[in-house]
Amino acid sequence: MRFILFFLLTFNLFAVDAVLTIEKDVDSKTSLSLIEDINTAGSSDKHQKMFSLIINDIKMSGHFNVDATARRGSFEDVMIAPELHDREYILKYSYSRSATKLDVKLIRVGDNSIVFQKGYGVNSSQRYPFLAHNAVVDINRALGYEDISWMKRHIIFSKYTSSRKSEIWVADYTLLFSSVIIRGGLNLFPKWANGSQSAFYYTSYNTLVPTLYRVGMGTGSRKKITSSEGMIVCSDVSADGSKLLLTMAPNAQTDIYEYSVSSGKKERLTTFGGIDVNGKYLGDESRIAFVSNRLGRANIYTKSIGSSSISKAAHYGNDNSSCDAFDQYILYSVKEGGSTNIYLGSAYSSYVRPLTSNGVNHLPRFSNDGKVVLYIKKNGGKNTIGYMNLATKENALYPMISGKIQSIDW
Amino acid sequence: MKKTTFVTAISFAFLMLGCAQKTVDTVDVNDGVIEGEVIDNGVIGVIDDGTIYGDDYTGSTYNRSGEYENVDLYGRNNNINGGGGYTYNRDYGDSSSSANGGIRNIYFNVNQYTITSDKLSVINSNARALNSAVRSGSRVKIEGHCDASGTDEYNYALGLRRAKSAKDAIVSRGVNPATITMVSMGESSPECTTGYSSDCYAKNRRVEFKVIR
Repeated sequence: MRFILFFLLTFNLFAVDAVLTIEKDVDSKTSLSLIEDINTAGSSDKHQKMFSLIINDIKMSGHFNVDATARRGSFEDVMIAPELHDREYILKYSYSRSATKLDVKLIRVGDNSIVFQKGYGVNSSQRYPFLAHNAVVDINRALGYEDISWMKRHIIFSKYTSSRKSEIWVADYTLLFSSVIIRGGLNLFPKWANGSQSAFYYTSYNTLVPTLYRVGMGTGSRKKITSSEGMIVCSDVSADGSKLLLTMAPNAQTDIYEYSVSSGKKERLTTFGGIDVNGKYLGDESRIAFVSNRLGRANIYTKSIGSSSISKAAHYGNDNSSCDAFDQYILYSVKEGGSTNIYLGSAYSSYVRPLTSNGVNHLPRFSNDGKVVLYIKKNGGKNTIGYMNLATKENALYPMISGKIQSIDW
Repeated sequence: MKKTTFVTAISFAFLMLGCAQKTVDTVDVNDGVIEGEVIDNGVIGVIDDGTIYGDDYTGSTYNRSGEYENVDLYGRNNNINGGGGYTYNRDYGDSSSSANGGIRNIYFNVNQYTITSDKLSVINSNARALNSAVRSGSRVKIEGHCDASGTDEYNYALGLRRAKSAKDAIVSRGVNPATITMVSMGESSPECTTGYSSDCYAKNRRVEFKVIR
């Protein structure tokens, strides 16, 4: 009997956790509640949107468990309501009547201390989303979390508005701010010229021959770079902005060229007689990834600049018509059955992982820090811009009201 | 004895509950989370009034110290849409006619740019008509087009290869290559705009021949 008792009592000492995985689940994220300044709440038509936007940005950071209850209170008062005592932080914000200023104050509930406070301004109330994006990026940094500066960048895209007509737009990542910057005829393939987004390249079909232009955002000045019969696309820019990867097509032969911005010299990088497009720099920019139909159907390959040897990079799918690259990683879209899905792979190993599982998803793009993936989801005639945070697994979709996205960069 | 066994069983039950196997759910990356209100407001010509401080309300009872950081990416006097300085409205292309002497489009299979044998009769009759147009001083523009599947940069290249195939075909039937310009329109100009079926897409995978006077 004693033996049986002993056995029963000690049985669970032999249970073992075979796998211990640490996941950042809801319970371990930082809890946060919002309080809007009661003196300015509701004083402009954008106040409700600002509240929703701050909630949205905080969620997208992936680091917070934010309570979506709308509360109003004094911006200056140090007292914290009893029902909020179990929160880790309170974010107080004051959004001006002019809708162009946002003040934020982050308070740690435990010791009632102000951890961070700052004021933000924009020139025009149309740009109000950047108030929230900048505030959330800074709050995130103040708490020591991984940088999420991607959130305050502009996206640039071209969209078809009707047959043979497309416009180039800039927007914030949620599309709550959006503004056309080039229109008239066919304007395609916009690409940021540098990390600071102070200029961009695009292809104009409004001259006799397709032409690549560079436009300065601050001045609005436009400069012709080069042109090519058939087509010309700037598919990538080196990190220092000094070199471009161009797709050009003299005599309809599409190949990838490396172009020096300072000297205007071009070096042809591919020589296959079929289609080679969509060049993207890898790693230290001595190698590129690109799309080619050299084995019959569109697929992703890599090569060193200056060498003729080519390796196949996509280890899944056999109809992969677009790619992006960051460091050693590649993103590509795979047409499979009735759907098109985005896959994340490595240029140097067989690692591959699906990021979407259904629908038509293409034009994948890494953020400038490689942590977030942007992509376009097509549903009939409607386009939606999707985002996936690779580290925190947050994801969101922002539908377009009209137009079909031709190309996008961020 | 019974009491001891009962107590042991209860203890055993508590131990089992306490040591329940942990399960960790991995979070699937899934679509369909739509956050917030989205407006593509199509604002044209946003004029920057150049001021940072707007008409904030007066009679503030609280003190805000410190400057406001201007988070407009391009500074106070950014010129995005200022004066519409860089919108261009010239239409692409020369005057051309597509309803010219029975010249017809050539259609292609998915992902292909080879002209199939059943299209050769169209090539032959197009070449005759284009030759006569060229002899009277016209030029020829060949446009390659694609359906909307696949990504646009690849599609523009595919459209251009289709244009090249068509150019090679009519050049081999006597049309002077120096009079021919090729361009790819990618998926920008579909012939069929009524749906997304394979039949509709098939009408968009084509080459058009235009006579330019």
